[in-house]
Amino acid sequence: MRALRLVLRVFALVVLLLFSAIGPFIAPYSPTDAQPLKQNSPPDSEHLLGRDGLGRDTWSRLLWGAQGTLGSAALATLIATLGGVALGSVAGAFGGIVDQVVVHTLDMLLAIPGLLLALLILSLMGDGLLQVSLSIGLSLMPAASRLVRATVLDVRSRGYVESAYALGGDTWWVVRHHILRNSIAAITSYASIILAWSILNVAAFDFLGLSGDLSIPGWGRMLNDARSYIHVSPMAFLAPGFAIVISVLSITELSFEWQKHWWKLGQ
Amino acid sequence: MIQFVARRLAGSIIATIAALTFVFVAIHIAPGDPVEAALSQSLAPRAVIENRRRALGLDDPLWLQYVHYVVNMSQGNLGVSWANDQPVSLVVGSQLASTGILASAGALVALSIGVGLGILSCEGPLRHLAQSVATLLLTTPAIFLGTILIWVFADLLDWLPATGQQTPGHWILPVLVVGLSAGGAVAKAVETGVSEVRRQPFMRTARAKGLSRGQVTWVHGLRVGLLPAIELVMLQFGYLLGGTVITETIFARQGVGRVLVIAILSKDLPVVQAVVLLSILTYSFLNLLADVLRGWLDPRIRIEFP
Repeated sequence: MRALRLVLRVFALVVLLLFSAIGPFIAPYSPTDAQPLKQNSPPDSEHLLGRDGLGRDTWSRLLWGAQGTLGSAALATLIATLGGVALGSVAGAFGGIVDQVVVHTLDMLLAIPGLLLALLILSLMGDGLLQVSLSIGLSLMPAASRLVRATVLDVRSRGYVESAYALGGDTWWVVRHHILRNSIAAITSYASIILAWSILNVAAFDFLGLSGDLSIPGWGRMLNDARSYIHVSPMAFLAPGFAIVISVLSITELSFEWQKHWWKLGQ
Repeated sequence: MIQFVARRLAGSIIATIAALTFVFVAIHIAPGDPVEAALSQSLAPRAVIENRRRALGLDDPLWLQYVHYVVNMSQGNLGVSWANDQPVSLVVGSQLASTGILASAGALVALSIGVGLGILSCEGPLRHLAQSVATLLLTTPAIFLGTILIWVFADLLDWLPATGQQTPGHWILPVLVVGLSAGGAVAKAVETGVSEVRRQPFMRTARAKGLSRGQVTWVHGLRVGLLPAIELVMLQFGYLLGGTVITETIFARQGVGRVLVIAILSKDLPVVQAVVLLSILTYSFLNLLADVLRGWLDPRIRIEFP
């Protein structure tokens, strides 16, 4: 039973990755091809998920949206994680005044609610999908840095790190060869949770109409577009909604499995 | 305890000043002129824009603007909205009640649903069901949850209104969306908290004293296990405020969240600053409250801060 659930989640993740990689190539119709006479037509053999309020093929838009939504979330995660690793490892490994400055700056940023911080950063850069990724990535960086710092502090107190220092290894060498290498498992698990968060945030920003470019349909915008036609074609909002839920669910659950596995290894 | 509270208070004040400085610097180094952004729709002539810049003090050097800003803030003067010349305290204040009630009611719903689900997830026959529901709540975005609720309750069943805020019925769906989307995280926190407490030695002592398994779990376990949940709700109140931004948009409600989104898009600096100040003050206050509550629920912490 548990194995089956695990297989299902891995399968879902692979399918999603595939969609975001080659979605636009396998989409049967154009995501922007509006057919005014065929608005809200129900699913049939040619249009698997029917058409939306402007007569566009929902399945094709879903495939295109995978790239916009999951791609920007992945970029945001990359920014948050790399920034977090840089700040967190510097603060954790050097300690002292460097650590104090970094920690207090992070705490100050953490006092501003994440979504508000992201909105603030976005307002400084103007809207667009790339800006959405950047602002969400930056807004998640303080939390990521604190998590990485905690892990680095934990690893740093272990015997082999102390002995590496005692043998005369300089700080950066020890950070790269011992501390970061042994923090990788923990950092991967944070990164996957950050990815799940980013997907939710990217979808929300897209929903609010902050992602600019209308030519790439994101799942959030699809949801927003479909709200006006909720009574005639529920499929147009159910499809992107479930796409978001399945992505976030499979990533979160796999991350929990990974965490359990990694803890078992640690003990 | 007083010393502890005083130290925390000083920390909060420094954090607030630092965050406001950050907001000030961030907005002022951003490209684009706020006055032009605010007046661009009105097609005002060049001279009008220049006059307006001078009237608002935007021609002053940055450090002078910062001094004015700090002095005004410390006197409780939040300034005037650049978009419509109304006092910021009025623009934000008039929306405070609506959003405050939405967020607080949402927090209550999140706490009750979260604690309920969290307890059910720990043991008993409904364990797996409760865990699955909590995971589903955690992974369903508010934008989707809100749309589903509108579809089912306003459209298919026609029990509740979908948008607006005139009657008490208008509150039910928005509060549910805010509460349910935060409830999943609370449930997970309670589950983790209680299951971690179970392994503590004092639980074994309680059993050895002759208390039943149930008594130990519910009296001792839950009391300490609730801590992470309370902390989460307190510290994530900002997240709830973020949730109200989305919820207010879905249900077409007035509120601080809407005001903030509009102010950010039109670079209405004084309004943005006021909302950020508000949320940081709320955060600091709740943070303090969470610490006190924690000491009350968990005697071990009281000893650390006598």
